[in-house]
Amino acid sequence: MLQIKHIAFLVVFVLGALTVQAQVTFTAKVSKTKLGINERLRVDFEMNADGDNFNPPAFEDFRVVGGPNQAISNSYINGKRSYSKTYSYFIAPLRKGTLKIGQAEIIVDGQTYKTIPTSVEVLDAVKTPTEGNNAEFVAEDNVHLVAEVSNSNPYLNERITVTYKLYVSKDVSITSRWREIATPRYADFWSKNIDATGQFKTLEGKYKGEDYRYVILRTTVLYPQKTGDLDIEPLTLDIPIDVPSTKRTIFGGRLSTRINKTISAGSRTINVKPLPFEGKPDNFGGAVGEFRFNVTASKTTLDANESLDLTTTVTGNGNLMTLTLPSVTTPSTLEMYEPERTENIRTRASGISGSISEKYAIVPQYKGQYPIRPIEFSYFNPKTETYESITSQELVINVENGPITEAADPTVDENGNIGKAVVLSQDDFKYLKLDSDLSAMETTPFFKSTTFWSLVGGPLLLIPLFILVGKKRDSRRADVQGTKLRKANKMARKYLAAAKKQMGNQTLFYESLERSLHNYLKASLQIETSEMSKEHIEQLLVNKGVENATVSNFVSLLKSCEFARYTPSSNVTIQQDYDKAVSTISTIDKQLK
Amino acid sequence: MRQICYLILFFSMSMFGQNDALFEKGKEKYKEEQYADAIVNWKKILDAGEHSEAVYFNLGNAYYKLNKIGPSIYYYEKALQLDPKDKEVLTNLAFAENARIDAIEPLPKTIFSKWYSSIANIFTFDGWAKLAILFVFLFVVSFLLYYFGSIERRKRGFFITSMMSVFLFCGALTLAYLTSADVEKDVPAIIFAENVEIKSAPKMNSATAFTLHEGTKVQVEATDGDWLKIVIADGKDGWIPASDLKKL
Repeated sequence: MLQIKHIAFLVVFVLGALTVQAQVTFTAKVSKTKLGINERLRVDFEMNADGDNFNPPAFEDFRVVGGPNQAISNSYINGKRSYSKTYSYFIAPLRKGTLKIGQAEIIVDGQTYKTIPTSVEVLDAVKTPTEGNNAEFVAEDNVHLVAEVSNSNPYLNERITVTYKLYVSKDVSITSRWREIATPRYADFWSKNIDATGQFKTLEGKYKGEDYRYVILRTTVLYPQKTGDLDIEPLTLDIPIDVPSTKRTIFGGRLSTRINKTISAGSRTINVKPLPFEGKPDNFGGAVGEFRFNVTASKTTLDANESLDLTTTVTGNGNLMTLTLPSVTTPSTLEMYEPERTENIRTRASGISGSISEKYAIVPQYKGQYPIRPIEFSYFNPKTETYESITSQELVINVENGPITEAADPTVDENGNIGKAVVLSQDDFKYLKLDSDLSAMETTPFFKSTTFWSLVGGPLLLIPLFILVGKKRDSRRADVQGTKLRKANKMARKYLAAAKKQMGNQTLFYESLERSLHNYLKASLQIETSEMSKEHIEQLLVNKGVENATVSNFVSLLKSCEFARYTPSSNVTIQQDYDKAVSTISTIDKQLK
Repeated sequence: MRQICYLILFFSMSMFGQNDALFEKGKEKYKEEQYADAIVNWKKILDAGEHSEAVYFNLGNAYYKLNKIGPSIYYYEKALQLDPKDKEVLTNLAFAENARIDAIEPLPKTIFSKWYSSIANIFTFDGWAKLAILFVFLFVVSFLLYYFGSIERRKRGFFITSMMSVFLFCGALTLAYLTSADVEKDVPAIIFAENVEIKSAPKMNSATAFTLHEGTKVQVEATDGDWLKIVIADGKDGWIPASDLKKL
């Protein structure tokens, strides 16, 4: 081994001697050819001429931890110039095995030079990297990055904080700024980083029982937006650490070596619990934390068509940015516009605090009292693990002047609700009715009741009844005629009684018949014997409403009486004339008015 | 027996007197702005089985003053059932309806149903029944006068009157039947719950069809256990727990 090294040196020396002057050298050097997977490697690309367009190899199996660092040295020794330019990379292997570092390129005076590819062997992780007093080992042991998660089993939307602390023991120091290699992203969280601004405050603390100094690098406030196992990505830093070495300066001060270390912390899995189902209010809008809620109106007494602002405000500590405010329902006749949302939120390590409010502009249209029902706001308090509700006060908006209803619109109206058309649009709210006018509540409807049907049927039954009664009366009236006739006949016979006695004697019979007829006329027509001319009698009888036929019968009777005095006649005619006289007198009597 | 009769009479007399006293007491409480007390007094009258338009109207007023829109509308509607054209009730009902949350656009009516309702709403079905009886009497009288009349021209007049009466009687009786059927079918109710979800089926876990608020007037169409099927003015229907509304 030693021999090979010697030979190599020899070869290099000889080659160097041969190519001295004007020869451009471009070489790649690795700090070690064998290393553990947790170790790092330094690669230097060195040239002795000033080249352009340096093109590093791909470092396929490595991660570039640092670099490229450029170093130029220019020295004159005994008038001889020596120049060197170096590009250095710190790389860490990504896998085990023999890994190749490819060629780097440089252009010097228009000519391209390439390095020879080198290979390194990567072995298992080294527990104690090299010797105990090694600077890297010391650095590893004395600098720690810790991520403190306030709660790894929070509820959905419950605040958790991740605090990144860098512990540095008193043996090492960090004098220059670190670099952040990987910044964690919080995919399923609402997150906000609170970076320490300006100078870090150095605090004293314990790490695993030992005294350490620490700084809080960053506090991240997280609100999980999903339930289940959520991963937090780690924070990875590249920290330059000054490790004091055993070497001392000529003045006795200790020399320290600077070591670059990559440390990461905070790869955690957070198990987010869903909010309990039990006792979840209907109006729960996802608020988790501790809140106060109130509803205010800019004014409660106004006129129609003026506007007022109704503001709902949630104040407190919790997921203010994601919660939904309860919506306001108002009577339909209050015109309400979309709310204007105002957020006044501060994010601190203790969580989000502040207030959010929604302002509704409301324009009442009609006169009256408008109650705005109490609004309930519910939230989940993760401290007590229960749902809590806050109910706002009921507000009453008093609209003092304005119409009650729209002016009656005949086209829309007549919908059974005749009311709207009747109400005057400027009426006031009416006072009580003062007369009680009480009546029993139980009323039987009149329609279809027995009384109703009997009142409908009863009168109809009256018709046949009346007709029947009318018929009877008619028949009785007819009977009265009969008696009247009989009476007339009787009277006629009375008058004719004397004539009847003289039936056998023609002259006497006709004389008494004539006298009887005259007597009858005297009695019924109140006329004197002197007035008894046939024409006058005829006239009178017709005037009294006696039919012409009857009158002529009567006149013919009188005529036959006069005639019979001078001419003899048979017994048969006497009998006929007698019957005729009876019937004529009774007929006249009937027809007389 | 007679004594018992007197006793009953006495009790009923004293009860009526008591209700009037309650009415007056309610008025006083209302004047003192103790609306809840006024309501207690007036409700006692209703519990005693008596009512009047005035009691319902005053109850509606007291509830309106307490900002309880549902009961307020309920009692105004009750008052309107006794007198559908009372202006004071209609005015205050308009106030209460303005404070209601739901605004439901009623379905437009056809010209025929408008005619029908404008005619049928002239009287209640009892009114139509009484009118029918009036026409029966008119018919009987004019018919008899026609039958027994002797003067030709008068007889003709009476005949025409009697025939008209028969026609009008039939009309009034039909309207009495129709309006009484309408009344039987008409089961209005007022929503009392502040906010109620109307379900698409009579089950608690069924889908919500729409939401109604206090004071809205609905029509009850059917009953299924503790659930009622309702229809609102714009024609939408759904099921509601019976406890969330009150039938008029």
